[in-house]
Amino acid sequence: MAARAIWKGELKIGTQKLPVKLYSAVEDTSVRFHILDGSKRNRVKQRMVQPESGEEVETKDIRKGYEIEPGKFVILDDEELEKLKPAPTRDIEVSGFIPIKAIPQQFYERPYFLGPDGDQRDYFALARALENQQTEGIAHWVMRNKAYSGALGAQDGYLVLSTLRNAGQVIAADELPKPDGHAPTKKEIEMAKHLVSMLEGEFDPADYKDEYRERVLEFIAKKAKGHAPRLAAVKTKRTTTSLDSVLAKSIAALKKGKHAA
Amino acid sequence: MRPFWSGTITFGLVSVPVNLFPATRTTRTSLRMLGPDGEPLARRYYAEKTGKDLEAEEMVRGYEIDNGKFVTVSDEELERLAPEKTRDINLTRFVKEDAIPPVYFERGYFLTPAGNSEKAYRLLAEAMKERKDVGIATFVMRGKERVVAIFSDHGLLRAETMRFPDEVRSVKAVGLPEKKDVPAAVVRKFESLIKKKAKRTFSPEKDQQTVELLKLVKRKQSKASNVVELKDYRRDKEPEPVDLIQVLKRSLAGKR
Amino acid sequence: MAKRGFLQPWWLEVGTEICPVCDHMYPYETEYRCKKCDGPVCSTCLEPTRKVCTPCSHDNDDSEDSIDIEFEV
Repeated sequence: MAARAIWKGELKIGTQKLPVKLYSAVEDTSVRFHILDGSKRNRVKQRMVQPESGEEVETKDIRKGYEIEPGKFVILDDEELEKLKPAPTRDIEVSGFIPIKAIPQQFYERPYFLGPDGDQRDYFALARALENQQTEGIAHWVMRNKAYSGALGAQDGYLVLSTLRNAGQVIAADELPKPDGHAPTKKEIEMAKHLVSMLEGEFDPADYKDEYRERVLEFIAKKAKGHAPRLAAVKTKRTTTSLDSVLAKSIAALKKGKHAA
Repeated sequence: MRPFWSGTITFGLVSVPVNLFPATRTTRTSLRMLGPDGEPLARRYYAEKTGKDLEAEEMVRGYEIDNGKFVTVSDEELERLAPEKTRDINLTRFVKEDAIPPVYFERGYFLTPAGNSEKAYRLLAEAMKERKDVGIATFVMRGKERVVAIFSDHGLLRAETMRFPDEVRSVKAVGLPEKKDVPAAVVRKFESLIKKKAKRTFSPEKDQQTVELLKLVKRKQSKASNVVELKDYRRDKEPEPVDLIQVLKRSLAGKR
Repeated sequence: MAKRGFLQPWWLEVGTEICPVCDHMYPYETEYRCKKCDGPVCSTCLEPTRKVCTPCSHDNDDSEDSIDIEFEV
């Protein structure tokens, strides 16, 4: 069954316009829980109260403020907050193109498929052009009252638009200090590299399946019938041995495994 | 802020106890909700039928089986369902960094050494850096199984959670039309547009909406427009906003 | 508010994300995505049967023609 588009827009590149539909490229399969009142097992509700009296304040009486100093707030009214929202538009402006590897991986947030909304020729031509040039477009658009920036790319001949995180959202490792402590020796590094090389392989997404999710659902099904299975407590045993001997043993164990296979 | 999660990276027989912290944060500012006299309000959970406030220990999580009926599931039960995976990050394979398409990545977390694992931690980071590898590992965190790609990044280990293959939709599943051949001239039209608008590098952008909000706040502050000042305001009663960078720096310096 | 000494479960913590509907903060792992607009929403703002966010729940038309340019809050 085809997915329903979540939004419709129009790509604008120079004078070229291309109507498109946006589809989520991601499907959440997690087991979802709700927060319940323990005794009655109903979903909880939430409300805002005055902390001293515990009395509820209704939504219409709630004011929103920005704290400029402890205890000092600038109140922003609904009209002012409304004006801060970006003007609604269907335009997806593509302002420039950069090489495919130029965006660090941490900036990619959420991917969407773009499908043609009408004209298919330009759609597939653009995808082909992006692939030939090995570039991604930098796009800006407004959706859900929020301004987004994204990367417009091609994947197997189709267009993909991924939202990008903004500058403040990504904490870069080089902003942080390196850990203290003893540096490993050259010998240890060589052994560790050897161990890593023995574990090198291809990335195949099919190797990874969420088995845990199945276990949880099974457990829930049993519990629902009143047959909750007894679960053993988690035990962790950790022995401390010298790093050298542990590295050597690991390498030996892997070599043995390879010969036995 | 206590660590988000703690566990042990295991590869071969090597163990590296670590703490996990988010590597991304929101830039949106959360506005305080205030009552009619400007007093900061608190959020409370309550039971709909009785109208009574609920304390943390009175709340549980549950899974909906029929309309409105729930089966409760505790955090401990969730842990016990994955005994081998709940505290161990099993590093079983190393792949080249560009082997993983960006569509799989979800969110990043920094790993910091816990216990006395600095040496083993640095060893793993250095070995991966020199081999130009990322490590693929699995573990269970907050009731969900995760596959992560562990990057060696400026001496630190950064784990990016990945989506499972069945969480990434295929073109067929979405229902996109079959690919069509297109005239070379049309492709060239777009290629020349691309070349005309080519840029060399990527510059991350500012959160413009927050920038505008802060400008508005500043304007109103200078005009003393609708500013509320509370006497007897006790900051200690409110939850402190977390400065993630400070928390990470403290954790890396070995302080708790 | 929890009694002293009781460690709050992670799903009751303030969290790192802000819900665009109610403006409250919530932990990232409790986030839902609206089935209609794919927007993030906290668990209390999720309409449970159709799994949509509060604003989308007011729109009963599921056809693509109803895809609003605006997101009414």
